[in-house]
Amino acid sequence: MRTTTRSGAGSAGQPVAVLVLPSSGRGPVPSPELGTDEVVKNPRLARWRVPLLPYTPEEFDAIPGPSVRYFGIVGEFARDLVRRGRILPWLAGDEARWRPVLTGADARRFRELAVAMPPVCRAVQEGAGQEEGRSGKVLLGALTELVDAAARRGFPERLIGAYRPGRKAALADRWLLALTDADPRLDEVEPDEAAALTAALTAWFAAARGLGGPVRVEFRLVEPVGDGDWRVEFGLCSAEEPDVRVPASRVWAGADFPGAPDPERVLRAGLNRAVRLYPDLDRALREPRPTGMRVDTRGAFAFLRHSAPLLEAAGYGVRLPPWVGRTRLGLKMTTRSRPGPPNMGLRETVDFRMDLAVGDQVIGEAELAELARLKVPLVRVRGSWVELDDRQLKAALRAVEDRRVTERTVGDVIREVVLGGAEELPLVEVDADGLLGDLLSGETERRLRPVPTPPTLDGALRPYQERGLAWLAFLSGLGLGGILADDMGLGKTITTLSLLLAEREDGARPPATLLVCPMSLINNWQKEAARFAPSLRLYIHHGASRHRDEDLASAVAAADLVVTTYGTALRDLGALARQGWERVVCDEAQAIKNSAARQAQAVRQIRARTKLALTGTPVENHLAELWSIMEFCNPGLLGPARAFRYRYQEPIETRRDENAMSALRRATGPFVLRRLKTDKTIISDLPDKQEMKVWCTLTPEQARLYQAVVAEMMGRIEGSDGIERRGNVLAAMTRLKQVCNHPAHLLKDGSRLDGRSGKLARLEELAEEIVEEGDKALVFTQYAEFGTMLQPYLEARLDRPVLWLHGGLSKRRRDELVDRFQGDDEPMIFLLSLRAAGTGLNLTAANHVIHVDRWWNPAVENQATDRAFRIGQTRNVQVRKFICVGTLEERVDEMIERKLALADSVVGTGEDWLADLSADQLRDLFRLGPEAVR
Amino acid sequence: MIDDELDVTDVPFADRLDDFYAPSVSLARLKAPPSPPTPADLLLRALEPPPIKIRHIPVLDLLRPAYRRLAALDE
Repeated sequence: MRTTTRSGAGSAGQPVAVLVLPSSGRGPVPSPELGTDEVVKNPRLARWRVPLLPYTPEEFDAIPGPSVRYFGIVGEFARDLVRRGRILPWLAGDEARWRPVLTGADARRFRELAVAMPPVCRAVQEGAGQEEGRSGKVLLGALTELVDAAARRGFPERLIGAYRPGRKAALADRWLLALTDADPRLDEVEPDEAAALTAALTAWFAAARGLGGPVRVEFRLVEPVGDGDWRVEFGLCSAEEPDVRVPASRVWAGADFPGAPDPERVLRAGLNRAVRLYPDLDRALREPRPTGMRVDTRGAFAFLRHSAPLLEAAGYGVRLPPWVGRTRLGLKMTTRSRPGPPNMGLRETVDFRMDLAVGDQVIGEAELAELARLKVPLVRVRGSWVELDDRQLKAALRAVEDRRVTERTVGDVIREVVLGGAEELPLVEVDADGLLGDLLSGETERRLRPVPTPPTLDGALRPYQERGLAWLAFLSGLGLGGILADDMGLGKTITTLSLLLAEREDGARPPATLLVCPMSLINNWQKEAARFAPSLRLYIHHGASRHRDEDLASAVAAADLVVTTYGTALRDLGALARQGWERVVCDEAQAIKNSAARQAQAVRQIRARTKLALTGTPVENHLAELWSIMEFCNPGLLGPARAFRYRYQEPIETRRDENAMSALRRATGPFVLRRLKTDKTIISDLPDKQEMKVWCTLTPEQARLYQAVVAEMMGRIEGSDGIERRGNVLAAMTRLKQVCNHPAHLLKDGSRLDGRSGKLARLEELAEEIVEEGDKALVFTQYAEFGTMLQPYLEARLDRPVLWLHGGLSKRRRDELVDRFQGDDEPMIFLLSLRAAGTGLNLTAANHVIHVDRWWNPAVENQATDRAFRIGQTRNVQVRKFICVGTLEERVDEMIERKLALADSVVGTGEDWLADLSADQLRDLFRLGPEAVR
Repeated sequence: MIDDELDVTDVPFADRLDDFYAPSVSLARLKAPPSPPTPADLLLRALEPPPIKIRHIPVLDLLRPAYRRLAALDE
């Protein structure tokens, strides 16, 4: 912000502010973002003189706290106001400024932001008698500054050409110049001149604020009865409750209107103002008490196409007939497959016909000719009114000409459907049979015969997974790419592995599939492939020892599945692009959501017979991402990004345009398979509780620390015995588990968290998917200090609530957290200390449970899991246990799995039993395997 | 001063000591969807022009073309 509240100056002239903050006897209570585990039981408010340190984002290498991110959202609101021109110039003392005009929805948005403001944002004490700042006032101050800055950026040039008034020029001239100048100050402001300018600007601003009052003038377009005229009728309606309305005739007759002491005056003033946006209104205003006006068909069309959107955007009420924007002239495509030759895939020829249609009614050529003859933009077709302007008419006549084409290939038809017709004449219906019918139905997966579980799969596919496999095989057979976007936990990995196995069932040896994934997932693919598809020949192309040149070609030739990371794919692009691939698969395909990013461009350059994207993120919510991922799967199919933005993205994201939404569903439906775990057919296939292991790697920093801890602790263990030895073993376990969690957990040095832990990277990815799906998760850790570090970090990453329940909280606070988690419908994460929350709580709002570190006591872990998986739970629960491969975590997990089969009691006492292992056994247990670091 | 229409009732600090640094709703929920596009000079068109002239040119005539370019801000 440009100005800062200054409540004084420090010893070196440094500005300081007095802040009211929660405090203890020692000082202000640390904010959670500091990650300290200091617990203050009963904080009180106290005033503190705090030095102000201005900085720019570029000079600050840290994740900003929620109060700064809050002002980031305010900044976006400011830019939005400027983009929409909801600003007016102003004279503030001796400064030329811009300020926001907050009416209607913008005023509501302002109040929403004010209510949400973190208390710390208004903690600056401005006067001696004042303790707490007012959020509305603080927000208006910040917003005005941000609007002023954004407006100056939006007006890079002077508003009046080369004219540069001198110091003695009229104040208005100098004021206008200063509105676009870096320095808003005006010299030598004469009070009389300033008063006159301020009065004019004040009246202007007041008129602008008046546009968004609680009662507004409404315009209603009424269809003609029989051969009569259209009418635009006037009235008043409530801004908050649009159903509360009174027609103008009753207003002139003296009817009351809630919230308007003088309804007649409101109506008259509103109509007089509206004439600036709807000039035809002038005709009606010649009457002393106008109630409406007749318009011909052209006038009605002009009103609904041009004036109505303007009036609505300016804050007037507008009511249009229900068919407006819905029923329009479009194209209906019909294709019929031909009997005879075998399936040729995309090259197969089908009979093809394109008709003009309104709704579900087909329009014949004669009918179109008659409509063209009428030359009116609103026509009644078989009882329904349809907008038909010149552009649409010309497009329709062209489409009729094109009907001479009576056959197309399947590939051409798909492209035509995806393009969705022209803007003025969209494709509104498709009727296809056979292969195309299956593909374009958007329900291909249900219409295909499920592919049974391949015999070489070490496991059984669930029914919906067999349908998914059929869908993948169907698209792959056609040489088309697809996006498998099933909810997380539904088995995208096993379905993909099954596809590779099915392709090799009859001894075929197709070229290898290249799978690109985030580094955090390499071990998962390796483990899952080894477990479910041991017959697949796997090559991991990653790390310093990866093959190059001819060795790479040999390794690829000898493999069925090659797994690499996005980073390696970018680095080795040339070598990878030279190999002959059957398929490229992008896992966690949101990694290529930004089409301009280098890794997205890299994977697009690797050629293959087909492409497949795997993602758990609902792609329909992120249209730019959808385009980028589709561009990878089926290059060029959705057309250029700019056309996609214009045709689909903008209408859907800004207006929720239903026509555009259904057109996009039709265009992408064939290539996207997304099943939700809440689908009825899926739920019945799923077990109530799914337990999964999540394999994580260490970063090189974690590996170095791990080895240092092993070396140090083994020395201590070998030099001790009895209780001391036991203590050393348990201390070694704890320290190694801390390393596996995060270096900062071991070092306790308050250092940054991002990019230093494989486990944390995986937790972030999972948490993002969980909240993106609208779900809630419990995340258990046995270490309170780790939870304290994670809470602010995850909250900043997700911008969603991350609650943290640990032993240091009062009973009241614990109850508050539980109530919020259970009662609030927002997706969120609940971090819990295993000791403090392992029993007793009812947290059935969660359908995901993550054990981020392990106590290695199945009974304790199950009790914790049962916070979510218990009576009252209505959904399937997914339980994930994090394990770092190649470390003691993996080895203890294996021991438990083995011993569980023998006797629960052996492992029933947590980690204590490990202390009885011999030095050699411990050395083997702690050993760092080469697979631990990727 | 702030208008009544924009004012809100604040929760006292004493009741927000546990979450003093946090917004009262999550930031993800607070983020707004993009506003529907409207002509950036609509506000100027909807109002009576102010009686301000710069070298005999109504200020509105100078502002309107500049406002139309605002829609491209940050693009």
